[in-house]
Amino acid sequence: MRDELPGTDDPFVLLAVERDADAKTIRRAYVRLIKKFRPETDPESFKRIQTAYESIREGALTPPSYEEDTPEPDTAVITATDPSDALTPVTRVRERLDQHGKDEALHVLRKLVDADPTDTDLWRLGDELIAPDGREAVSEWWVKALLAGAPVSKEITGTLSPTEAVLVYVHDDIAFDVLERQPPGYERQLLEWEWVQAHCVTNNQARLISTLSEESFRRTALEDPSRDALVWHGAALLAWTHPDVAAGLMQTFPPAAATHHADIDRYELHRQLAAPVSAAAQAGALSDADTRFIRYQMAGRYGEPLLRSVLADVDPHKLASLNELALNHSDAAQHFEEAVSVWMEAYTDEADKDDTGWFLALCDGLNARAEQLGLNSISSQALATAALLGVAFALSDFAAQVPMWKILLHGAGVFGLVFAALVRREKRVYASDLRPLIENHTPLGLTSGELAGWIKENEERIPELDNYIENIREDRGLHLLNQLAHLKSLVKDDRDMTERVRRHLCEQQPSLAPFLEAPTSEALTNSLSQVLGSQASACALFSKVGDEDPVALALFNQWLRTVHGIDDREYHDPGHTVRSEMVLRIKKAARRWQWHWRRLAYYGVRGALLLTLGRSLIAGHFDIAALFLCADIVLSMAHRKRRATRYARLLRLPLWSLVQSIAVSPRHIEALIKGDESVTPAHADIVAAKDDVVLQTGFLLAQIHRKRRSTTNV
Amino acid sequence: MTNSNSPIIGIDLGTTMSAAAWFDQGTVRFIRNELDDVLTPSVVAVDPRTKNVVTGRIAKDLLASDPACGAALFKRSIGVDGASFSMGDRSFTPIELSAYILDSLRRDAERTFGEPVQRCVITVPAYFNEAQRRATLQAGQIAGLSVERIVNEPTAAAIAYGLNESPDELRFVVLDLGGGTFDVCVMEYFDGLLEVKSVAGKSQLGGEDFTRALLTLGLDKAGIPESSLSIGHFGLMLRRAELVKRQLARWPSATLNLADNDAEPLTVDISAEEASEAFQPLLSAMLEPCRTALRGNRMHADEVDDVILVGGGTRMPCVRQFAEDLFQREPKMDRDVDLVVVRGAAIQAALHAGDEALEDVVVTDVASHSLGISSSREISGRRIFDLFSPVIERNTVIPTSRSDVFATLEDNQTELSIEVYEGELRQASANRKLGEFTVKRIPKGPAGQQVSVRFTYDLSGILEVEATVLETGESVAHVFKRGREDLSDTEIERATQRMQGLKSDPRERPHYRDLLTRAHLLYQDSTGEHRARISYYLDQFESALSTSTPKTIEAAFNQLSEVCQRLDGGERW
Repeated sequence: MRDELPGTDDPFVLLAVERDADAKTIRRAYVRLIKKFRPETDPESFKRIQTAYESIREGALTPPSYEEDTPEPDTAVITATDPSDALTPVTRVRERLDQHGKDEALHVLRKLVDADPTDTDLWRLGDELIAPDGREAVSEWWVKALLAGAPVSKEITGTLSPTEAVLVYVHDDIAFDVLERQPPGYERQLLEWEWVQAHCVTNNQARLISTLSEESFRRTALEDPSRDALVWHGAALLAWTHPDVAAGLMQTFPPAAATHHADIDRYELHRQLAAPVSAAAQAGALSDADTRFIRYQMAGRYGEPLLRSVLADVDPHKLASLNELALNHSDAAQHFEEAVSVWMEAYTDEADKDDTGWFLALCDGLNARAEQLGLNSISSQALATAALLGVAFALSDFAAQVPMWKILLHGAGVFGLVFAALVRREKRVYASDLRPLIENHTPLGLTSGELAGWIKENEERIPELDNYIENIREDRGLHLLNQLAHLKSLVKDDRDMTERVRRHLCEQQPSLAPFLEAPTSEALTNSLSQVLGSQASACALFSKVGDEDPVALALFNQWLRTVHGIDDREYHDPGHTVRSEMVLRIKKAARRWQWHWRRLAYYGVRGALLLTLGRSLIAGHFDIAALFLCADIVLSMAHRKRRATRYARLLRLPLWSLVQSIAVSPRHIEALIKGDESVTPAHADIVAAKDDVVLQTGFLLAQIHRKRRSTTNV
Repeated sequence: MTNSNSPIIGIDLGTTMSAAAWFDQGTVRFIRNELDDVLTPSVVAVDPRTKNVVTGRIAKDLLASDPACGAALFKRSIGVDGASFSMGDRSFTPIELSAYILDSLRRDAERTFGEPVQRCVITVPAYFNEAQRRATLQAGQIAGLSVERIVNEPTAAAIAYGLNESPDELRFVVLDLGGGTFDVCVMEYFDGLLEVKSVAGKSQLGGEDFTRALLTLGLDKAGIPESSLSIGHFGLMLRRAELVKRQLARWPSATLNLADNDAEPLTVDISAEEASEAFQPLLSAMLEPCRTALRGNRMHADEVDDVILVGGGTRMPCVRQFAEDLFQREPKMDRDVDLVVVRGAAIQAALHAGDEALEDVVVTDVASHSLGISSSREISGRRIFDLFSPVIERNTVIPTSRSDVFATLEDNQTELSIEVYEGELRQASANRKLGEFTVKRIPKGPAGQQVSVRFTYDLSGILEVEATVLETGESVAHVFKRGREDLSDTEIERATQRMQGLKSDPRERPHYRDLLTRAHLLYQDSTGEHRARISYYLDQFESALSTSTPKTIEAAFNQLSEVCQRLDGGERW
């Protein structure tokens, strides 16, 4: 991120210090700036800073005016008549100090400060009394003064800058009040920004953002376009809390500027903000504030698409170029998922039971926002993420408090709906489209009434489901395999699971035999990639479904990625004309829906999985639901390849099977959309289709588990 | 042109000793010369036997026996018009001599890195003026170096010191008594910022002057008039006096032998007391720059937190005593007092290269001389000409850009001559003139037409003067580039070539010699086809050495070493 100096000649603004800041603060600000704008690398900025610094210092060197030095002429008279009244507060404290000692003096001092918190002499005295270097000790008085209406100034904070005093040494609530008191403008923006950076996010950030006026943002944006990264970030957050303000801002903010600087910086900002959180999560030390940070991080990220949609009304050409940018920023989008997964991992170990409510609130909020703003299809990513979070939460201890299946249903349902809408409309999804879907096609019992009814109906099944989930959470590896075996036995089969896996695989895939005799992951990969990776099967798959079917496209793409591990570069290979054709179609579809095509592929598969999962739950096929839940876990693990590279090789193989098994799902989706109950697959059908998947998923998970264990042993 | 991968080296081009270093992963590493020394004497000589130009220790040894065959202390004359040194039958400018030293340092660095080194930072005494700095830059250019920055020696020393100590806040003074110059520099360190607050100095006062004072004392005591000594004898005496000076730093007295090499010893005993008395005028001369520097930062001597002594001259007890008396505190001194400056230069080079390890450090420097223009003024009806009007005051933080408004003196004056000077004297012409240009097309009118003159002075030493006629907005700019003004590119090219021609016999280069020996050994050991191949490439290389350009030599060298490498597999004995 390249900083720029504010384009002003006001030395105080340039150095970002108060007009009455003391020499040390000014100097500190100066040093901080010239470390950024070095004489060697940025002489022009350096010169400006130097000039500003010198002009402030020269000003400071001018002798104080005559009035200030003039003593009160009639002091002596008053002293003569009434000594106690005439004493200044400071002298009174000093007198106490001399006569009764420090404690007594402090007592008096506190009283005096309470009476007049703005008397700066008292604080200096407090400084002196309590601790010559005791900033903390005195800060409460500063705060009182600040709350009493004193401006945030050097006079008050002594040797501390307002930023330090307010943001570091003072409690958050007070900081908020102080900030609120600051007039809108550059200084305030800076303080706000520093605050955000210092604290990541607290409850107060929401309050702060919600108090930002449209004017404040607009002014900053127009006056100082160099800071538009900040503005954009703020605006993104703002869009979450105050869509109307955001809309106003977007109308006045020149969109051209956005396309030039803002985007890259914005993602950089996100990255920077997320970094400490990721680190904390990896260290297993996620705090309350961190989890909230993630929430707002997300709000910011998905606020942006909202802004984009606002922009769409402003200038369609700009929208097109912004979309280009969005398509090129899949990394940034992925980053969020990484954050979620880090968080998820942390949560499976350490529950934050106090913070359970927000996920549901988030889902609701997303839905509400979607309705309110008239989402375009990019924004439906937010809904998709809600579903993702549903799964994530299902796997966390969080589920101990909120019934897991509820979340699962909710998340999967929302996602499924959006996805279905995408399939059907092939264009932007509006809230008006979503509403009938939600109302008329509620396959997952989304509305609370229906949900309640469904729960009642299926009450006796709930513990069973919870049991599955419990087991899944406990161990995603071998334990799950056992659970699946148990599940199978519940349904009809009680034979030894491992043996069945072996036999089945040997039958279905003779080339697997060597691997089964000597199970190494390499042998597995080698022997299976041949069988499963044939181009013919892919073509067959693709020919089964319509050209324009995004699910089919997505499946195909998934196949490309997982089986062949190809990437964009290979698409120009003349030997892969079939592939190129397919990929082009996926890309075309993605473009039409304004998605990044990789994301489309990913969500396509996940959508299909979750949808099937939902259907299974409704139909009461808990075993199948659990299976698809497993499949989803596997898929998301594969998707986070960078984080789980050692699984990736193993994952290639079963994914193909998974993909094949759910290739029937477009039919189901159609049925869902049409509300055609007759097409709903029977339990037996799904069992037949899932056999391979059950076996291979279990097998895979066992492999993963073994791998993990051996790694631990080493 | 420049290779951004190779580090920027820091060079201390000293009056008596030079050194180079670079900053590598948080530490300073010194570049050793062919004799494995860190310090290379700043001496250039022409070997009377081979007529080759030699530098460093060898030259110093040659010079010791025959002062006429070489030159030392040429740094003191650098930038002085018409200065030249004759060696044997040839004559060299101080710039050329400095270039020889820089060239040898560059070659040492290239040997260390195994790749071409082009970028460097060179230190100069803080009190060096424009011409001296420009001359130093030219020397760098001739030596094939791109001088990224000129750094003041006390600043460099302070960098090395300040970054070692790094307390929260510190005001300190650096006294740099080198071989030929004395610099005082008031510094402040605060929160990673190392600021030069003010500088002062004397360019003709250094350790060598103390040596001469000591010799004069000895000659006086022995009753020998200085004029009676031959040049050779005098050089020898100076060398001995230098040794005595060093002895006196540790012993209460020392003996100086004033006789010529072969003659009967003629000794005088010099006590430390006598010596310090003889040094007194020199010490007094040091006082003034110290005061100037303190005044420049509005400080008193007792407000200084630390006093740092830099430069070989500060090894003398009398200098340490001087500092202690003046600042009322014990001065600090680095163990490697000769290497402090080069260490700082290396760090400065790294700062320039944006080294990550120094992200939190920033160093600001000041202009050591005022820069301004000549003006006239009318005072009570009388016109005073030739007044110096500084635009950039001494001790202004650089890079900087300042402007001032001047006015025409006559009615209907249409031209204004801008003469740019550097210095501190009130009379403009008594300062050093850097150049002049004329502002034309000033609208006719009564006297007092305003012209704004802006001086922009950057870190790389480019001074740009821009004059703008305020009424028309028309402006004339004049750039005073260091190293470009006096000496055009072609002239530098010529000087470089001339130096190439004078360079020592390529055969004398250690790595060439080494390869020749290696190839000859291999030739003896091998037979048949191998032998023929070695012979072929050896011939090529030898003929290249005797006749060809450096490029061809290098090519032949590479070919031969490749063959050798293949044959002996890198196994050497």
